[in-house]
Amino acid sequence: MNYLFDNKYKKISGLVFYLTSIIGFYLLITDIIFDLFTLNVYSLFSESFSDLTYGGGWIENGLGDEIFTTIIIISGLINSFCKEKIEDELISKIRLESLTMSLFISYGLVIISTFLIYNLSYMYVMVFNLFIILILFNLIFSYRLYKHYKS
Amino acid sequence: MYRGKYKMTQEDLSIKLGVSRQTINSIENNKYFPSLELGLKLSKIFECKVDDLFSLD
Repeated sequence: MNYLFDNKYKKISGLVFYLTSIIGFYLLITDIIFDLFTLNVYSLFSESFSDLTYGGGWIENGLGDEIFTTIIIISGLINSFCKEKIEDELISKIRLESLTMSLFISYGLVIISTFLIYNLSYMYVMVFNLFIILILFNLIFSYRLYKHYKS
Repeated sequence: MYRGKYKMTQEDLSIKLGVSRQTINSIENNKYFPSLELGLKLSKIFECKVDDLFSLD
């Protein structure tokens, strides 16, 4: 059992992943993302810096970031872990090496950021870290596969 | 060498083994050392010992 998705989902998940990643990043840096789809949602815990209210109840919240986060993570996972047309042991090895490399790079970036970025700006490092492993893995794996298929 | 003896292309061998042609290419160019399972399958196809196909050095 290899826990991989069928190859037929690879193209569509890749398209959704890269498209939503770019749109999501743009909406995040322009702060538009937090104002999208504003609804009353149940919050288990939330803290506002402006009025110091704590959750455990219903709060008004823009669901844009939650929606984009979910779509990016699900499409990224599917795209990263789809079978190749011919899934063999060398592809598995390339996948594992790409995943290892992306983990090392992303946590390396987190450690560097920890000593260079402080206060509230560090929140962006955390948000960035949510996606960087998937993005790096996708890019490294795609590049390694490209080299493999070219051989 | 064995593949030539059996007049097989990389494509033929890859189909028999259920791997990609590129994987056969990587094995032949010593870029990839296959698993025991694949090694045994290769030795069965070429009717030889695994030792005849692969060595540690």
